Amino acid sequence: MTVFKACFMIVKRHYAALALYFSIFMVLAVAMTALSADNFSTDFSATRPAFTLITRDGHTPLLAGLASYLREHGNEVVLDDRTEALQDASFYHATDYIAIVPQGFHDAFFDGEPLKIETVLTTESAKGYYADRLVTQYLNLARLYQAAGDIDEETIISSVLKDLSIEAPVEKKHFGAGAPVNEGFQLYAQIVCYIIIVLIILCISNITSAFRRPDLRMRNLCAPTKPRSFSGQQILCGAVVSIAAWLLLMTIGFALYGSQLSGTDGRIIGLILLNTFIVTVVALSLASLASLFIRSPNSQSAAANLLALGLCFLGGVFVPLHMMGESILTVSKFTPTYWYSTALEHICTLTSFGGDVLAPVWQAMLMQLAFALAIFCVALVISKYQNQSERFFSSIQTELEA
Amino acid sequence: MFRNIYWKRILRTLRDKATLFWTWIFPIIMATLFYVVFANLDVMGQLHEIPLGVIDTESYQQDISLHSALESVSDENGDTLFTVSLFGNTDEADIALENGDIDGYVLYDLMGDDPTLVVSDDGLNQTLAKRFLDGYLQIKNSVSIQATERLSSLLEEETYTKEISLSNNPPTEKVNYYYALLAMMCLYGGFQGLITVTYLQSNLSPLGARQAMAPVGRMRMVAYDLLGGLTMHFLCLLIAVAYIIFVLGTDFGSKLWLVLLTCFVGSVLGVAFGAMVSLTSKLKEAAKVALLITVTMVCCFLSGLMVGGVNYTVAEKAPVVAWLNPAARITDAFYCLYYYDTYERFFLNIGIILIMALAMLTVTALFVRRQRYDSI
Amino acid sequence: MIQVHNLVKRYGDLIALDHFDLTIHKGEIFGLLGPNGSGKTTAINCMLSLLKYSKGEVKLFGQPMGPNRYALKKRIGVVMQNVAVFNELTVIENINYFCGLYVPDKAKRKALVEEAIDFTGLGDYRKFLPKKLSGGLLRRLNIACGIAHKPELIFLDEPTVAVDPQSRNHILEGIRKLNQDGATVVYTSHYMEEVEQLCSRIMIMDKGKAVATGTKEELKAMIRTGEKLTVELHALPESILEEIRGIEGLVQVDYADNTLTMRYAAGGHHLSTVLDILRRHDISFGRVFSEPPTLNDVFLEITGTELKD
Repeated sequence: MTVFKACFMIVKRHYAALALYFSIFMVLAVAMTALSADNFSTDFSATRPAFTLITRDGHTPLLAGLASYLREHGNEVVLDDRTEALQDASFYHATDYIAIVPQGFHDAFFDGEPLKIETVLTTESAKGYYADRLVTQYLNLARLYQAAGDIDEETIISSVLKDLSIEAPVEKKHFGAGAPVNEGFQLYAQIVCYIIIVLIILCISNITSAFRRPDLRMRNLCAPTKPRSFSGQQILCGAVVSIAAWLLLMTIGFALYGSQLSGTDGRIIGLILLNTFIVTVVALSLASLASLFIRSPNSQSAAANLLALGLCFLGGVFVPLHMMGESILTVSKFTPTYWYSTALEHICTLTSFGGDVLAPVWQAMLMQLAFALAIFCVALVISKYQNQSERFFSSIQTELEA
Repeated sequence: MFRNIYWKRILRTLRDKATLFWTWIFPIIMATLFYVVFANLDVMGQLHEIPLGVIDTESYQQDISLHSALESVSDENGDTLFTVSLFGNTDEADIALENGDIDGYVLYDLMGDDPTLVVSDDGLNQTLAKRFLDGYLQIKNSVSIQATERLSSLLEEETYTKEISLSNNPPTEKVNYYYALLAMMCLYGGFQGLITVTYLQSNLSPLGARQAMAPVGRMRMVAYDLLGGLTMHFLCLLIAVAYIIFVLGTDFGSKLWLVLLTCFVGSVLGVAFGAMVSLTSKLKEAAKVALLITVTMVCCFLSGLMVGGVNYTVAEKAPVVAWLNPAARITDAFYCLYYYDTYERFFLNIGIILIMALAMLTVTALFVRRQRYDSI
Repeated sequence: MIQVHNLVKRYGDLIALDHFDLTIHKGEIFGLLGPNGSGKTTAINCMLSLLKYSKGEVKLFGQPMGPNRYALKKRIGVVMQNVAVFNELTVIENINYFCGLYVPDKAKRKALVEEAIDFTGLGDYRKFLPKKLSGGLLRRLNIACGIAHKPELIFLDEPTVAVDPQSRNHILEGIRKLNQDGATVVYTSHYMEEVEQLCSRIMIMDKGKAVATGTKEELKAMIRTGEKLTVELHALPESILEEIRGIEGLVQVDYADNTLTMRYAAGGHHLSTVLDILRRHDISFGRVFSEPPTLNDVFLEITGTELKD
């Protein structure tokens, strides 16, 4: 167990770098919690678009009514009537819908020759369309009353607003046992995959590259310990570190989101945990392969980041799979992370636990395990080849020399 | 003398594989990943046909106005809002709803009450379906007060709005990620500044001490070396911009020369930043690199590299932070070139970047002029 | 060539150089000898104006030295204690770079670089990156970078630390040759054998002070002890030991581990006297060694501590 203990000491020495990655990840996770305002309720709540109303026609009851109607159904974003301010807001999606009421709109409207309200929507934005429907409905009803007879403006507006308060009843059906998985927790479970891969690659490559330093390796070969025992203990240490990392990350996950999970079915949470554990195994296999090619601290951080970022971007960890193009998805299927996010997505939409319903979940998990196994085998073959060839004895650098 | 220092610096940069990876290869890989995963980003919030179910009851069959209204928005030829499917009973519709085949269904109560919308989730599609029913009921109500016979014609609304465009180039979420990425690359120029100062300051490295003994003016040596680093860094930005424009096909607007100017000014700022950070002998080199990366990443986060639109929020809520954030200024300069028709804000951005760079270079110059140290 | 007067350097409370004086003449190989932390490197860095000093003055070539005295710097070559070369540049590029800081003319520089490569025997390693060089070769490169521009005054700060014997001889040989070619050399080391072999004049430093200066003969003459005599013998009765101790001119007599060690006072010669006593008492003895005093003895006597680490 000497090797095992030495491995732990090596990991400990690198705690600063590991802590750095860890804290970056925590900031990311907390930021995401803040962004994902998840309020599960049994009542239907309508989506509220962000709208901006720019009036170049002074204050008239017609427009005041429109503004109050829009405010009821959307969130107002107040902007200056400057081209740049409007450009910025629409470019950065600060507002979904900008309506610019031209001068003379009010008079023209009641003269029967309405001027058009200029609108700015992000290309084919659905929320913008919704806001546009609201405006159209309001003006449509106003026209209706105005055409009906000689009523004054105030009355028209109040009748219109009264009509507009009519709403169709909505019934929200809820399927399945408990509350759906908290969105924040789901996001956390999703991106935890990234940090698991980075942390484990860094840990394992720290251990192996220390042992692969040529002088140390030659010294170790002289020791009365079997090479198999050396690598065995290294792998064991790697596994222990991985499981510790997994436990830590899961504990933090529950600490952050536990309160929002009380209503969720325990079996779903169990499956999520199983899924993250499986991806930990995948990360371990990736790390054992990557560490065969890592020879210096520089290539170590490069490899860890590249592998993790690449796999996570391609596998739909950072950006949902449905946002990607078809051709990319074909490639994605060849990453274990794709099957991780697929499994997670299936788990989170589970409403029952029948064999048929669970089949895609098991399939995605098995795919991950198959990836892990395949990567392990490749790593084994390569390490065997490396052990036999002499050139791998040289040109290994660790931070001790650098 | 100039050639000796300048070219050797360029040679060294080319052979420094770690820095080369982080400043040249890594951003290009990131750009490729952005390209891959953001392919559908602009299509995300777009309007798609909403699958809506209707329970085929007698009440529904009898309400011709609802019928025709639904048909008018699920017209095969024109603008299609809904794809309507009919269900014999609520059980069938519930199964379709649970499987996500439909976003909701309309239940026209047999008692003759108002039609009810049944959904299983909140969302924009559901909201639009509700909006449709709301509108139908509202119009129906108004008309019942007035003339019922005009109902169907009224359901075909007049258009009161027309869409306009604020800029020559279409707004797109994608480009800002590339802009922020280029800002990150510019700030990575800090590595070059760090290398220059570390290897020229006698209190920072043995090499610095040796070079301090050379019979060449300090300022000249630092300037030549920085120039070499800057050249290489600008070259790396040129490659990245060329890659993003020509290989990935991202639109930077038509003012390519000004895009390059922005890259250059940004590189100067990055190099100056790195040079300033590395002046202190209190931190180890690794700590300085960590500081550079951390500051760069925080600045880039605030300019929207990780989450799009953060830069706008910061500019609205904390304008001072936004104006002092070099990455945000660089990103904004690119954005101005793409989206604005005028140049005031672009040149204001360039001016701010230059002032920051100048301030940092001045600090560096003041410290570098000192050559004797209490300890080395 | 070098005049240092009353130099004081403090690091906080620690006094690294304590009223340090030094004069070095043209054509000398001047050795600064002292244990680690005795202020050798600090003294050199102060002379080079790399360090601020609290008090005192430094003149090189008869002119006050300062960070901007480029005319002076041009005539100086420096080989630092730590290897200071660019990892990204090959052997020849490194030498060319450092030489280029002194000699702008390209053709002239090329010849100088080649000369430096020959001089340090790095001919086979021209295109190697420093990473690929062994410790000794790296030191040679370090030296080549410092002397390629043919300086008149060369500072070598422990150039032989961690160097294999072959490279060390090569380096020492080279320094001698530089000196023959007219360069004045300032050399620091804590290997006294090296200094003894190489240097024409030596200064022994301890705790920031110059404790003794002179040629090695002068230094050895300064101390009480002269040659050291060692005799191997099996048994030595106390009475005979006392008798030996009684010999006039013996400074120190010890008997331990079957070895009798004696030191003469300077200039004395008592081998036969001691051996006569032993023979008289029929005590058989094994091998007999006689060593002249070393700089270590000088150091030991002056400071009371061993020079060796």
